[in-house]
Amino acid sequence: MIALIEREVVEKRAWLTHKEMLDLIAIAESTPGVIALNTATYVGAKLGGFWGSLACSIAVILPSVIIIMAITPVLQKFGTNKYVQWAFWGIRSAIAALILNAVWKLFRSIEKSVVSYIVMAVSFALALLSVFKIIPVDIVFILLASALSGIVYGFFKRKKQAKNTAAEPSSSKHQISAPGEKEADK
Amino acid sequence: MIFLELFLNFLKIGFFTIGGGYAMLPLISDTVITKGWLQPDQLIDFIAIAESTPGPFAINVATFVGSIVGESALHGFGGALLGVLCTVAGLFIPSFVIILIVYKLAARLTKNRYFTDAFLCVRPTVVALVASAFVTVAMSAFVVGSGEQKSFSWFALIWFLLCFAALRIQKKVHPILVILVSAGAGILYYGVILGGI
Repeated sequence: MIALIEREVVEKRAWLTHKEMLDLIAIAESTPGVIALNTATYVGAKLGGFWGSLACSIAVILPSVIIIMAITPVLQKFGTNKYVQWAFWGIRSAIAALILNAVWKLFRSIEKSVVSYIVMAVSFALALLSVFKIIPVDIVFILLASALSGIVYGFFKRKKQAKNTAAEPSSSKHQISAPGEKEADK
Repeated sequence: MIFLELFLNFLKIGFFTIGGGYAMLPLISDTVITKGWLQPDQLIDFIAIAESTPGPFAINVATFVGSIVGESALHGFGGALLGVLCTVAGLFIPSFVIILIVYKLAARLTKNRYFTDAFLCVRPTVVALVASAFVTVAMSAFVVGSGEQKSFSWFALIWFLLCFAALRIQKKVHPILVILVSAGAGILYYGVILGGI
């Protein structure tokens, strides 16, 4: 979808520059909300303020709504057909594979650190408690708790970095000036 | 009032969906199954439809849930339309309001220390949540049969492993192709080889 937006909005119509597009991706992905709608609202705001955003958002929503509302009655009518059922039993395996593939790709995109693995394990355990109806844990609670722990983790990480840079400024200076000293030796 | 409930729940889903594609799946499946709006089987089958039709996944799912629930609450097309209006508006409002606010301070926000720090832990959590949604889906994907006669299927498990291997090895393979081949495999196995169950 991003590729399609890039071609249409940046290359064809020049509504955004390439750099603005990169900013837009960062914002759309890191603010709450559906990415497609975030992107539409942003491009709309740039072009025409409030009404521009509204127009772009509705334009993104309409095709989905029309297509799905046309398909749903057909689905309900043929849902009990034997062939359709067999086909869907086969497709369910494919959907499970597609989701696991998404998990795999997401897993590889995150920061490789002990903290992120711990956060992942705890969140997964909490979510499973909810899936198996052992303890109802709200997903929103898990997300908010992880955002808070991220802020706390960031605070200590920064503190440690500040300590390290304060402790060894001399050694790093040495390394920077080392090539120069070698030249002087020659 | 079911329509208000639809709207409020999709407002929550819209507000707490971070990231694209399947990132909203855990919230959707949690809400929709707990509320009894869809059966797990219906949700999985619809994920297949949403994957194979144009349009953002999230909006497709919202439209489907809205029309199913709306129609059963208030018979006829009007009910479906009202349901869709509620779910889609719920998804749309958080994006709209947040982006309009953020638009002015966009560049500053992505450089804000607390904002980026929070994401250090939110990203791993999103991975974990999508993994838990996978568990939900897998639990009903490997159990086939209609009505009372449901049982675990080795074929479903093996076919899942084959699909996953195919997706990992041939990274450019299109999801729709995997879905179509799986539909054929399902008809061939359950219909022809098992003689229809």
